[in-house]
Amino acid sequence: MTIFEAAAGLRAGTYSSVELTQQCLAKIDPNINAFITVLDQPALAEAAALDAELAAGIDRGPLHGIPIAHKDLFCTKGIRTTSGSMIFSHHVPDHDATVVDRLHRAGTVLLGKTGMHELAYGITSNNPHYGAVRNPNDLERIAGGSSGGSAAAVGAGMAFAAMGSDTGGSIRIPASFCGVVGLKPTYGRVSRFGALPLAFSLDHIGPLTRSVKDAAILLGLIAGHDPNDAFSSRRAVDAYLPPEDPSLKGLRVGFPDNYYLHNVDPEVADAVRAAFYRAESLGAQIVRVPIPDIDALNSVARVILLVEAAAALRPYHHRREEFGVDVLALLDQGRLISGIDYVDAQRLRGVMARKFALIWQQVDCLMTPATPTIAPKIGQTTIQIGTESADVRLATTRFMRGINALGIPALSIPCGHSHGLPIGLQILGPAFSEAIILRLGAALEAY
Amino acid sequence: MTDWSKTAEARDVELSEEGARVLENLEIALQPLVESLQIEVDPLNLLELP
Repeated sequence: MTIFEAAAGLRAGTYSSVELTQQCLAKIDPNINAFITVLDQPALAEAAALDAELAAGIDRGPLHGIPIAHKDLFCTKGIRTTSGSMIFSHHVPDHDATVVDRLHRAGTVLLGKTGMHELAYGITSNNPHYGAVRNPNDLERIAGGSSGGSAAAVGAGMAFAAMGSDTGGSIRIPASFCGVVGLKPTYGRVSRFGALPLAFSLDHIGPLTRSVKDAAILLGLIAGHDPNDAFSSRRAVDAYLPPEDPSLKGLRVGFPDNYYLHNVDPEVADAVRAAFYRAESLGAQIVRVPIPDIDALNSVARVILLVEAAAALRPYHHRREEFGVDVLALLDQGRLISGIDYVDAQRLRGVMARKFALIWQQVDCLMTPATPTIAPKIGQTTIQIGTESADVRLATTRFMRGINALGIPALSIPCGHSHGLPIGLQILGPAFSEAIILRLGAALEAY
Repeated sequence: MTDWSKTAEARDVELSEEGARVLENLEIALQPLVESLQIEVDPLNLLELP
């Protein structure tokens, strides 16, 4: 059941928010380990209060009474917020993150805080302090990361939606691996206030949901200027809800001439090609477009990430024994990159953004695979793609990392299965084109 | 090219062989691009003054 359907049922009296909350809580499976903190009794009390409001004619809108979860890096007043780390294991914020506050005011029920890769600095959610988050489709496989708990919770029906953060794929990777929808909006579209920073110029906040329409509903409520985030955009918030009519007439969809369909699992490539056929049959014009050097863009983004993360976590560098091995290694690497190299990476970022922007003169959006393979197994460090072996971290982030350096919106939606596991499709568009990529995503989802 | 192991030692930072390889590969990937950069006025535009 989607948020859209649940909202209709709540108003029709088919079920109550308490019943929806009970259903979600009953599905929380400790074997999946999607949650670090479950707020069962507070959630039920919140749901009962929201039911009473609705009965009294007070309707806060489409999220009224809908049970959701937040990645455990969003500050929640009076509720422990660990960021998946030992460093913050006793951190109880005295305020809510902006997105938490906005969703609370919109009438959501908070089920709990979801598991994640330590400090959002990784793509497996194999957390040394709180345990591995497991993929609900196959418990031996990773949920992806860093918002792994959010994706697993939504995928397993433990929550109608969950908030995540994305610095190099951390919403879209777990969405792809768990078979849910993940939206990374344009940089500055959604406030980051109250979310633990990893890399200030790469961090984005967005929802993970069961449907594209649900992602649009959430974006409409969390988007908009926030004076507490210096990079928050003042641009007016668009209408994101996709039209009921799935026609894509007039939409130019870019087919990548190079890069994105090379070195991918053949079944993933087939599923993505099939999505192009579906888009074309719905009236879209498919246009082949040359893609700039994404490997170079990824390298630029990695330099920026390594340095900014080392700076963001500088106050904690001396507490070495409290970090997991992989995160500590990345922090040490970041400490060694010179200021000159960082500034040059930022300069290259501008050059590459201008090259990539040329794509938008030819098309309205671009479709690529989200990840080159299905979810790897927990503990797996290399992955086989065709005849080649690749590092799991590098392969998994290959289509996503550089996108964060461009700041453009990106949507990951399920587009098929391989060996019974979900395949993800990534839809990209120019800055602030969320309405367009959501329209395309919704049309493909409904096909 | 930078000797990352020596840099790490000089700055008293722990760096594994794999970590040194990561930094070396990033340097190799970006060097030709950095050499192609043109001088720009305020390329970062960080202040975004109105």
